[in-house]
Amino acid sequence: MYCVKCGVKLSDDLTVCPLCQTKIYYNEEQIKAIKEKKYPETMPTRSNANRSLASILTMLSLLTISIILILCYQVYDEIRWGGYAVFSVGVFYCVFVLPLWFKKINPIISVLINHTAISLFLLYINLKTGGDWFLSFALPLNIIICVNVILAIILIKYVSKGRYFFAGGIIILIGLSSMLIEFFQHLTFDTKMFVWSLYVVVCCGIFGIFLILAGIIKPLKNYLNKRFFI
Amino acid sequence: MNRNWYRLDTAALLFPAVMNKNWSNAFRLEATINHEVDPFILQKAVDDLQVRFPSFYVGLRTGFFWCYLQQMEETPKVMSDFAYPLTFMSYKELKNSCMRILYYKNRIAVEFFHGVTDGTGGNIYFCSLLARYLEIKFDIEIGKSPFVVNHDEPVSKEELEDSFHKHTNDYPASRKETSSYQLKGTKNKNDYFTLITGIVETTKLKEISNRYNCTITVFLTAVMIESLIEIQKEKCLPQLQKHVKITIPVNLRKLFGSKTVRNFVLPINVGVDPKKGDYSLKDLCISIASQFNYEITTQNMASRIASNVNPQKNILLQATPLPIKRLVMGAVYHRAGILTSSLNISNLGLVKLPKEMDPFIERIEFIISPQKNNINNCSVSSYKNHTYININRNIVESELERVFFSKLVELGIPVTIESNRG
Ligand SMILES: [Zn+2]
Repeated sequence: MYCVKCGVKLSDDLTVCPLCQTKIYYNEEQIKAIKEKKYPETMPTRSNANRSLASILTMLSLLTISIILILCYQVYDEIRWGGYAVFSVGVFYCVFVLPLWFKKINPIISVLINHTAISLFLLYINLKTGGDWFLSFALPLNIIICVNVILAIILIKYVSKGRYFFAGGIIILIGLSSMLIEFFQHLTFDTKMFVWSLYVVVCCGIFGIFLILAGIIKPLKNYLNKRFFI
Repeated sequence: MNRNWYRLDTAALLFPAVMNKNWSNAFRLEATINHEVDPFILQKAVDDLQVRFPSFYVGLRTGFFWCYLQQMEETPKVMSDFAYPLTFMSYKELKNSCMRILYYKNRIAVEFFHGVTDGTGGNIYFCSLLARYLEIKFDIEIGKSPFVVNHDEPVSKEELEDSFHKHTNDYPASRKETSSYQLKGTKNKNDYFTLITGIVETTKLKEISNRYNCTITVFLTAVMIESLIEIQKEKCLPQLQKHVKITIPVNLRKLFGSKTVRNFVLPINVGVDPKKGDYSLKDLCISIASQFNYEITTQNMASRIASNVNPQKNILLQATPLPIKRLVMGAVYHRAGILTSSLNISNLGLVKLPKEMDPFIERIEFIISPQKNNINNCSVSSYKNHTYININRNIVESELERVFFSKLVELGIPVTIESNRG
C-alpha cells in the first residue's frame, strides 16, 4: 500500500501513514491479512521516586541537626540559636527532600506540608523571642498565601473550561486578601488601616474584572488566547 | 572469577553526569531473524560471551570522585521487548547491568548504555551474540569477520583501552560554536519514543549519491539539512533564520587504527547558514562533503580529542567530589553542548556478516535515543541490499520525517515506511 500524499510505500501493519497521518482503507480480506505489529504493547514500568538520594539527604539532615545541637550544648549549655538552625533544616527537609520519597506527590498536599512547616518555624521564633505576632499576623498571612497558591494550582491543573472566570476570581481574591493582610497587620503592629492594600485592591480588581469580561466576550477571549498562549 | 572494574572512558565520563530522571544516553541494535527467537538459547549465548566481552557485563557504580564500571558476576537476563525502543534506563537498572537483551517474536535486540561502548563496539558484541546464538541453535560453525569474534578467543588488552588517551595532541580545539535551529513540538506522554523506519535499497541510494558525487552519509546529511531549512523557512521570519547544523559522530577506529570495543567516537557538527542564500541539494552536498574532509583528519580529530581529554587531567576537577562534579558538568553541558545542532545522524555503515549467518538473518537495524535537548535523532545502518534509516522522536508531530522521506521519494529513491505507532 502506498501513501497517496507522501509517495512512500507503507508496511502492512499500519492503519495510518506515520508521516502525514492520512488514513489507509483496507477491505475485509486485507484486514485479516494485516501483519503483526512491529512492537509489543508492553509499556515499561518505572518509578519516579529517588529513594537513594532521599535517604542520603535524610542522613545528612539528621547529621547536621545532631552536630548543631551537640555544638550548642557544648558551647552554651543550652540550645540558643541552634533551635533556629534545626528548624531551618526541618523546613528545608519538608520542601526539598520529602517529595523525593514519593513517586508522585500531589502539589496541593506538598503546598500544605510546606506551609505547615513554615508556620511551625514562625511559631517557634515567636515563642522564643516572646513576640505576640504569630496568631494575629503570621498565621493568618500564611493561611491566606496558602489558599491563594492552592487556588492557582487548581486553576492550572484541573480547570480546563471557564479559565478566565476562575483566574479573574482568583486575582480579585488576591486583592481582597491584601486588605485582610493589612487588617491583621493593623491588629498586630497597630499600623494605619488600609494604606497600601487599597492600591493592590484597585489593580487586582481592574485586572480581575477584565479577565472575567474576557471570559464573557468571545472576540476578546480569542484575541487574548492568540497573544498570550503558553 | 576476578571481578574487575573500569574507569569510564573519555567520551563516557559525561553521560552519568548529565543523565536525569527522563533521559539516559543509550542506543540499540536489533536483528530480525528467520524464525521465532528461543529465549533459553539466547540466554545461553549471552552467558557464553561473558568472558570474551568483560567490559560489557558491567554495572554503573558511583565512587567518591568519579563513576566507574563494576564487572558483574551475573549476566543480564533476557527480557521480552517493550512497546517502544530504548525505554528509560534508570540508575537502579544501570547499577546491575549496562545493557538489555530483548526479544520479541523473531527479533533480537540489545540496548546499550552509551557509557559502555559506541555503535561500532556495540555492533561487534551484537554480531558475536547473534553468531553464538545461531551456533548453539543450529549446531553450526561460524567463521570470523571484522564484526564477529570467536567466543573462546582470549581478550586482548587493546580492546579494553581508552583510545582517547593514546591519540591526543597538545592543541585542544576550541569548543565555541554558533547555535542551531531547533525543532519544536508537543512532547509524547510517558517519555514514549515514536520510531519511523524508512527502508531503501542500498544500490539505489548509492546510485543517487554518486550522481551528487558524494558518500551515502554526506548525501543523507545534505537531504536532512535541506529538509530542516525548508521547515525553518516555513516557521520563522527570514531575518530570524538560524544556522542549520547536524551532529555526525565520527568513528575514530579507522582513522587512528584502534581496536577498542569501548567508546571511540567523537561528534563533529556540519551545516550551513540559510541567511546567506538559497542552497540547492548539489550545493549542500559539496559543502557538507568538504566540511567532512576538512574536519575528519587525524590532526583535527586529535585536537578535538585533546579538548575532551585535557579537562580530565585537571587536578582541581579530578579532586572534586562527584556530586559537585555532576552539578558543574550538568550545567556546562546544558549551556555548551546542546543547542549547536538540530539532530544527530549516526551511520553504522554496512554490516558484513560471515556468509554462514546470512541465510538466518533478514535485517539489522541501529536505533539511537534523542539527545537530551534535541527531539529527533536519526540512525542509519545497511545490511545485505537494504539501508534502514531510523528516525526516533519524542514529540507527536512527524513533520521532519515527512519532509525528509518525501524528498528521498522525489529524488527517485523508493522508500518503505514502518513505525511502532499508527
Ligand atoms: Zn503519508
